[in-house]
Amino acid sequence: MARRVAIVGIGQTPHKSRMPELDAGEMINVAVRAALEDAQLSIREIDQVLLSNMEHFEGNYFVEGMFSDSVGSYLKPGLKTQVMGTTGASMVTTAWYFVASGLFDTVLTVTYQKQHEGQSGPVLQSAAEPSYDRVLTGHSAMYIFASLAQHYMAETGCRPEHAAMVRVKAADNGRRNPFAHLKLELTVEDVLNSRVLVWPLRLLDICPTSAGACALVLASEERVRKITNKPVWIRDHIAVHQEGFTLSVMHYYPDPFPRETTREVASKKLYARNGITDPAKEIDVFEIYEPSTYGELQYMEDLGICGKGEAWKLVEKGATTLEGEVPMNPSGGVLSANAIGDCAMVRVAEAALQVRGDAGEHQIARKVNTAMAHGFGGRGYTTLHLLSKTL
Amino acid sequence: MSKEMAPEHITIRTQMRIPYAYSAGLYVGRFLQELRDNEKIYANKCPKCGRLLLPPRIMCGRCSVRMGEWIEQGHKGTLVSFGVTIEPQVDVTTGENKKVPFTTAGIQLDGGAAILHLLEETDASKLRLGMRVEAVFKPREERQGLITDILHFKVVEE
Repeated sequence: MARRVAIVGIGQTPHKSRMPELDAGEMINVAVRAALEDAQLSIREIDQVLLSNMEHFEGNYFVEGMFSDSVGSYLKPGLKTQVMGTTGASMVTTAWYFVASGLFDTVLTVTYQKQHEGQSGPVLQSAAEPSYDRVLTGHSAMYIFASLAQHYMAETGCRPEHAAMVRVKAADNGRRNPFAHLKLELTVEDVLNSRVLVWPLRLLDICPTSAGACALVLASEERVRKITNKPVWIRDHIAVHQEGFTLSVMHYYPDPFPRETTREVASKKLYARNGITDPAKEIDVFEIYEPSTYGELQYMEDLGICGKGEAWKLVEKGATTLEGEVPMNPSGGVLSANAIGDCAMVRVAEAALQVRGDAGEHQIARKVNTAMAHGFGGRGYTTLHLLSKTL
Repeated sequence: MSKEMAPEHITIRTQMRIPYAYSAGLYVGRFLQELRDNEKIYANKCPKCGRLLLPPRIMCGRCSVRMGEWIEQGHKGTLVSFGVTIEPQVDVTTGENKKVPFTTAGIQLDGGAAILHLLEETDASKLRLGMRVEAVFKPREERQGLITDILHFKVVEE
């Protein structure tokens, strides 16, 4: 039987376009110190230290060795999980396994990216199969989201102004979040007038590239009581992976042999085993990994937060704002900060801050007992973490 | 650090050029050979769930069974998605920027499988879902056993 596990320390760096003043190790160290200070623990009280990122984006391999001093892993056990966009959330899960199994009582798990030091586009394309996929994918991830936008509009009646409303909401929330990268004042017209990158996607429909780091401390139930009176319990989590070589899995085109997305499979299983029948009512806030405006709309529907074709109508009503009935991405989301290796962990960290009531200016209006964090990654991988104030 | 030091941000620049040589393998290899030598586009079929994979692969990832029959797909199909890339992006196979604009398209082939490829037309206002398209092959002497032996698909009147 697994032991119960809580998040007891949360740390982030502010996210920025460029961070030339710090090397990657120094940047990681900022997040590590913040998480340890939040947990009121010293590195000597941590049993295990984990570090990961989206490897090769900065052309560095074996980063957990390169930055062992900065992260504090000297003479401690470690293990890296690296699964593209879901890396950050999967590093939370990896830490969870070690604590839940009884092997360790306190685990520090850390993720980061400094995208400006390298080229993420070509490295992302190298995740495409070399004989066919890669030869044609000069469009990288943007084409995937352009195609998603085209189909979402065709199938639901959503118009570009609704996607623009998602962006305006993200900007409004991002301005309130001290750790967000973009603090933009935007109108719907600004989004609709931004330049086209891959038709029909515009510059302001997609996430930025950022630098930043995130760190969490997880502890066993026995230790939690001694560390904090505000634990955030990891009530459940799930990861669903995708088959490898099918170009349609990420909306390159409608699959002529369709089946449920990994988001649908993961969320249905997670809700069923936790007795959740109406996620929009029973879960107080959602942090979802939305690389594009249309992505947020599609993913809301795939995750059962609303019915098919309903997400853009909720956005039009203002239901997804901090004061709305279904608050989505109060942090500003990936549209406001995208240090890609830490993105999925930031979703968990921000959901945990909401549960603690410590999100400050971007704390949602209603009381939070339960929050869900979603991770999205290459090949359509999905992670979900269900967090709660009480066990 | 001494207080007199100016806060200068020193940047170290490096660059790597790494050549790779991948095996196309039994399945994609035969697919590319048919493309290059016979102008034939093949998919293969899962004996369990019945779906077609293009390019053909050894296993059905959904059913975990070995894929079966090879089925010729023809050269014609229907446009089911497209995106026109305006922003220059690196071609990871060469390290150089791709020429823009270019149109990437999802095409439902008449043989039942779908293919991702390029479209000749780059003006989004002239394209709509459901248009009929046809593969245009490079001349035989220019084909290299690559998916780009199909130059692109073009819109056709029917």
